[in-house]
Amino acid sequence: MLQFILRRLLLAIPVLFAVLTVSFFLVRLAPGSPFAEERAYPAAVIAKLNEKYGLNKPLPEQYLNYMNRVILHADLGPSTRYPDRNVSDVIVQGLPNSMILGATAYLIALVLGMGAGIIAALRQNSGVDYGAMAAAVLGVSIPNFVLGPLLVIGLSLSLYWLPPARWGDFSHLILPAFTLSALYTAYIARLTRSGLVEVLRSDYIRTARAKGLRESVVLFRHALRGSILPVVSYSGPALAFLLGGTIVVEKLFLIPGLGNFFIEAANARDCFIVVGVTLVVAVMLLVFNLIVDIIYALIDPRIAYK
Amino acid sequence: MTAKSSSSLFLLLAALAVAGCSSDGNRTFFGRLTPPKESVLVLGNAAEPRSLDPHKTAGVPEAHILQELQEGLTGYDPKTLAPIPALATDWQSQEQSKVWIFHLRKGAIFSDGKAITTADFLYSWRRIIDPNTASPYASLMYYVKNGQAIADGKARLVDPATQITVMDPEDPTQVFLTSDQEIAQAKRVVQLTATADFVAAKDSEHLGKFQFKDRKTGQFLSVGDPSKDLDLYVAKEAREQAAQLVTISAGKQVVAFKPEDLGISAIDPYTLRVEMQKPTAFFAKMTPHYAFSIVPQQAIEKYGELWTKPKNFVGCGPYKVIEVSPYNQVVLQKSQTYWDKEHVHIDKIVMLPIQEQSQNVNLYRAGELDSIYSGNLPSALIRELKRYKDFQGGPQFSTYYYSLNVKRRPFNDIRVRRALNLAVDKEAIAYKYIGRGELPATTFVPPGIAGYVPPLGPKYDPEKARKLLSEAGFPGGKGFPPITIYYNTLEAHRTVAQAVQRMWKEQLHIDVELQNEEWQTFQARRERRDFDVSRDAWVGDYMDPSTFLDLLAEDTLNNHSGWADPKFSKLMSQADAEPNEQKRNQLLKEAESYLIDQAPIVPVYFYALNYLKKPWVKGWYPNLLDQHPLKGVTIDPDWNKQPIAAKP
Repeated sequence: MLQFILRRLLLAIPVLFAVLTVSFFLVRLAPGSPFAEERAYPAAVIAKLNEKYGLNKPLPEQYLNYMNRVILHADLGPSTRYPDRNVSDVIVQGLPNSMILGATAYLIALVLGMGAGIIAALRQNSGVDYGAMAAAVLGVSIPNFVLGPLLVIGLSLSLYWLPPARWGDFSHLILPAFTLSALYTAYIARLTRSGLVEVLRSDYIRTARAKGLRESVVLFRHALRGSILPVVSYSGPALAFLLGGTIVVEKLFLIPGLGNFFIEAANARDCFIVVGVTLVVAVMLLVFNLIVDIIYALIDPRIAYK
Repeated sequence: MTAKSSSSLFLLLAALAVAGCSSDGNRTFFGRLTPPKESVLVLGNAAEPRSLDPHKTAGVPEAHILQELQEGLTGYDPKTLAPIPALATDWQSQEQSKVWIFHLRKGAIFSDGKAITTADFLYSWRRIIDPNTASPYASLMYYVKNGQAIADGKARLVDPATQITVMDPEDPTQVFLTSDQEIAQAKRVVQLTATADFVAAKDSEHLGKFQFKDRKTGQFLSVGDPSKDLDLYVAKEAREQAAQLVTISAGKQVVAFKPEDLGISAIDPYTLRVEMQKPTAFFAKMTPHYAFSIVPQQAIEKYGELWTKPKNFVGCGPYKVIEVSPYNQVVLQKSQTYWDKEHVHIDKIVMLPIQEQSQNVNLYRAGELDSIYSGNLPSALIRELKRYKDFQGGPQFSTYYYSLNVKRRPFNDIRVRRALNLAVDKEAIAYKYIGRGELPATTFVPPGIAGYVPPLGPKYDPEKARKLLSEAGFPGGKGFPPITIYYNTLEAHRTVAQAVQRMWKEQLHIDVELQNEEWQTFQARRERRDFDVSRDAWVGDYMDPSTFLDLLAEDTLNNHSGWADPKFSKLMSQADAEPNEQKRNQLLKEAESYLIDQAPIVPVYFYALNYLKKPWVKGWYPNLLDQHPLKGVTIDPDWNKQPIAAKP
């Protein structure tokens, strides 16, 4: 097991290296400049700023300097747009907001999705089952940039129950978390249902029932454990995406999270922020996938890593 | 899927919501009507402020915040925008506006208790003009003596024996400006003239320029730093000028301009003397601009770039910053050390950096915003929103125009440019296609400057346009190359571009393509002049025609058309030197008239203000610069108990 984890961590190094390299060149080669303004700065000012951030050097040299700073000094660099910020500031300020939103959305998805999936599986081919699965199809197919505004119009702009956007207290969290969770709820519901339906037909469940165990014990101790494996494996990438900042929902609800910062930085060609945020998201993806693989082994005794 | 596509869908849904609002004949208010319980004003402020250092930014949202944080000599009158006393109590001009004297307020202090004196102005104004500060608004300081020379890193020549400074042979009132680099280059040109061949450049990019060719090796030689492969091309006159420069600078001491050479001095701790480069009658009108405000030397020296963080912040304005939460909010709190705090009525100001225009409408409707700065409402909703009492309009100091790339064929032909201008029906665009209150523009400077009567621009005249085009060799549009209008992706820009495309096609029979681009890509293209026709706009900085006309007086990054005309530049510098305001305005009018006649730009419309303001916000008036000093603004919780006053 330890060896497996170690190997995965070693493999992550070239992946992160590639992520850094590709995103650095993509953002530096995009047309535009971090110092572009509708009212152009004087040429001398732009030259001075380029010099200050080392952007006047040839691109390969810029790249080497940047990699040197990131790898040897663990410094993700300054923001070229905001003179009093640096990339780690921005990540420290944005990541917690994204994580709160993502974690809430994931919890909603887990509770609602597994709940609906279990009920649907137990009442297979009943009205409840069809209803829950129809809702799940809807949840998968309505994009969040449609669902969000619909919720806003209903609950914020007509009933004035919840604020339409912004960030600060619990009331600001509800609409974006539900909007964000819809897709995941629906997916988890379908995964839970199909997993459970299959497991409930299997021999070891029949054995458990034949032993005379109560139905609740059969379900929660035996059946569920075997049927949530797909949910677990789905959760790894899902969590990484949810916690690392979701551009559309953060934009829709004006949430100061990593996704919002990323898109703003990309638009402003704030190069080091773009690369820095990309790196953080990549690290999260790798870590969550690794965690999922470990949990896999813990849940399912059939799986062992060497 | 991009954030943009989601926002347009949001807009559509928001439109449904707006349309769903009842309006029963009488004009009603829009959305929720609950005044804030506490003394907090929440404002929609367009975008994330780049910096809270007035010397590090040139943006509009920053201006709204900065004018509350730091004060300068004067402030804006909230209605007329005339300069009113701030840190200066009164001021006079002397020597026909060549010198200005400002008397400072005694007893004004920074938020850390330090007294404000002329020393703070010396420090701040020298800092903004220092090339090391790299301030985007340093150009406003060019009116002050030596300002531009310092910013451009120039030097003067001094005779070591007599200590006399060499004056410009062409204009003996001005100091002769050069630099070490220019002198070194001139010396090399002179040296090469004697030893190398001077041959005309062959490639099309450098037509009219020349190169030095080594007689033996046949290589082209650099006139600048020979180690860098730059500066291979020189104009023919450059040889003469180089010889002249070498002669003038021989035996002279080259003295670089330093920030300390800026024409400001302290007569005493409370009397500031400002010497202008040329007579500048309108200088006092510029001083409310935040570029002229003071910054705290003590905090900057202590914290460096981080002095703008709330925990380090020191200011002298009516408010101080207590929170900066990126892409979320900037919170200002009433300053207890401000000299005029009795007239600051609201305790807290929350500025929201909301770029999505539909979000402004949503938050306003839900009662989460008290007022929105102008220009941040979705175009498509403005006609609808105009029905509500919250909507505020009025003229704005800003022009929408098209730049024609005069460095490209066929726009280098004045007849083509005039024809294109005459074939655009600006009234139709302003009233019919855009219709948010904009006024059609036939000239460049927006109306509304006291004392300045703009010239009459040419009217829509397709007949004459066709005639001019056929004179230029394109009768009935035949042989006219296909051209492209570039604009950054925005609904309103597309509407205008489509209208112009159709007008040029129908009236002149020329083929026009439209190309929208993401803002950064567009901006980069415009600056390297890789376009035929490009969408353009300018917002004035201060209430004088020069804030517009100066744009085309020189070949700068903002002069997208590339038009630089010696006659225009001369008229502009004549106007600058004219102390009599009436005569000066006459000269400016002449200059603008000439500019419009030369048609490097096609003015389309003058912008109009458009914003929403809740009825309890009092003391916030529509004005040309959309500047709303928050000192004097009040929240009236009993707004509906009194008869509602007529709209200002």
